[in-house]
Amino acid sequence: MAEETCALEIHDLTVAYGTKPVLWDIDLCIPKGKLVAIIGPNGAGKTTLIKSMVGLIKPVSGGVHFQIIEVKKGKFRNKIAYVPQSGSVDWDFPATVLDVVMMGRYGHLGWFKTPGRNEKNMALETLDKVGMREYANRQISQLSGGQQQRVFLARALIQDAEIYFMDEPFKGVDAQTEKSIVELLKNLKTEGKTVIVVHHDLQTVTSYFDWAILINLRIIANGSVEEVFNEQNLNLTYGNREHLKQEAN
Amino acid sequence: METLILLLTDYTFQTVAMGSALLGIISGVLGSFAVLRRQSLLGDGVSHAALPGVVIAFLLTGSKDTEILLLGALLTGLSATLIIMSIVRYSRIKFDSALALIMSVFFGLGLVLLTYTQRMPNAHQAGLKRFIYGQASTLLQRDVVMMAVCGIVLLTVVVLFWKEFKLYSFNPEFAETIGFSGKILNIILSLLVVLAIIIGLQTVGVVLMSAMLIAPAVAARQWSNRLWLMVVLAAVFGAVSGVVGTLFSSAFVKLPTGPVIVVCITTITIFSLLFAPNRGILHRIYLRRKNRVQFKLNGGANL
Ligand SMILES: Nc1ncnc2c1ncn2[C@@H]1O[C@H](COP(=O)(O)OP(=O)(O)OP(=O)(O)O)[C@@H](O)[C@H]1O
Ligand SMILES: [Mg+2]
Repeated sequence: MAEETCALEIHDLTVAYGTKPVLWDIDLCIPKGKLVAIIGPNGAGKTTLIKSMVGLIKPVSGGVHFQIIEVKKGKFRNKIAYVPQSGSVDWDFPATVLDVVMMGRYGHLGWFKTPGRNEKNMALETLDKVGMREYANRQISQLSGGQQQRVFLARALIQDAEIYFMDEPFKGVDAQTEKSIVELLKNLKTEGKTVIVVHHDLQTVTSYFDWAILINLRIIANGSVEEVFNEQNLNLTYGNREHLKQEAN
Repeated sequence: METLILLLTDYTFQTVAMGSALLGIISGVLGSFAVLRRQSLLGDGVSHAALPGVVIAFLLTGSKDTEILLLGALLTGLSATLIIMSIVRYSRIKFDSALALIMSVFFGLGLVLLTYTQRMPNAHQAGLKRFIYGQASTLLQRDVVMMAVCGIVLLTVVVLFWKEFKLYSFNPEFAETIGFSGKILNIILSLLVVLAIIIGLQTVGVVLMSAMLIAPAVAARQWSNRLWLMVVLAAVFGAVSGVVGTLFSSAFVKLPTGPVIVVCITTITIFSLLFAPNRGILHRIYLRRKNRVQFKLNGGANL
């Protein structure tokens, strides 16, 4: 593992809500140019880890250091792209699909500059990539769950970042769409981008990802999928939940 | 008809109508953002919290000038906002509880101070009570000029920060990750909303002001799916209610202007909730009926 370049490093990270620690003394090196799965049971702290990495949560101690890019607070951060869980926003907001995708360019525009023709064209192209072009002018309240996910994905793709953070991008997505999203993620990897995904479906870990982080309050394992994605580690992560282990086999 | 023309050319009427229209525009625009951010109630808290500020300003300065009284209102309104936000941030108390708590404490304090002040010799002429239910007829030309200036400043800021406000209202966490500080945007937006409320206090008063903020936005949302259209419509609805309310109260019934304006905007809102295409309640009922008929025709077989 020493020869890998870390896209980001985490040192002694502890995060708590109130007095209850949710992440405990995390040390991590996430290698550059990999498709990384974050795996763990509900409430394990996956979302919290991602939010700490993109700077949405202030840790009790420790911190996240980006190695390959410069990320500063208060500066426009065009090198990281964050896809939140789609349930985290109000989809009844008065906006079209195109409006939302263009938001991915706001960081590049900076304060006060308004998006124009250029941004619109980029948004349309990106919508093409996720198969949503004909929905460009659709009101976002009229999207299905899977379509919402794809809109968020397009918003991240248009950011043209170096590291992508995605919280359950396959939630509510049908098999066909999931496949095409995985294709997009693999393309990002080929371009040398790092993609970090919170993932729930243990069956697809081996075929989708090449790096896995198993987490449950602490880091249980961090390594290539072949190395760490095994029954012993899953036992440690999920405890004694037979059905889940079987799913993985 | 003649009385109507007489009225429309009346100087006092023009002043009051102008002021009410301005208020409608300002509160419509800022209210849209408050409603979309699900902070409609904050307006209620701020307006009630403004009352002690008015009285304290009078007690300290002895002045009856609207500007000075409203400055006091601004200060307590802002403090209340800050306290509510800090409580939510630093404790486990939820937004609605913090709001209810602070609102009643401030409003109660305001009423106590007001009662106390009323016993003072020159308090009656100061007309502090007008800030409870509003008294549009006391609007002077310079009040309207002040409203216009404030309005232009507020609207300019909204235009300037349009993209940021849109992003922040829809998805504050995403805004933060790409470098738009949520802290700063929250402060700016909240400040604008507080200012909009303060501007309306003289006309509609602390009790009804939150309706001026919320109702135009809720009505406008019914007719539009685009943010800019919603904001423009909310401004139009607010302005129309301001003028029509003033007209009604001064021409036909001699009712207090503020409450009549609020009745106007509420009527528009109820109408919109019922009859708007797509989002209106009647349209939804109609759609359900239609689907049911179709379903029956098909015998439900091919579903
Ligand atoms: N805002 C919050 N306030 C208090 N506790 C929280 C908050 N958010 C999360 N938690 C707690 O922190 C723990 C970790 O939550 P987190 O959302 O990171 O889990 P997760 O691994 O993403 O779970 P899931 O698979 O359900 O999405 C949980 O026990 C949760 O109850
Ligand atoms: Mg989660």
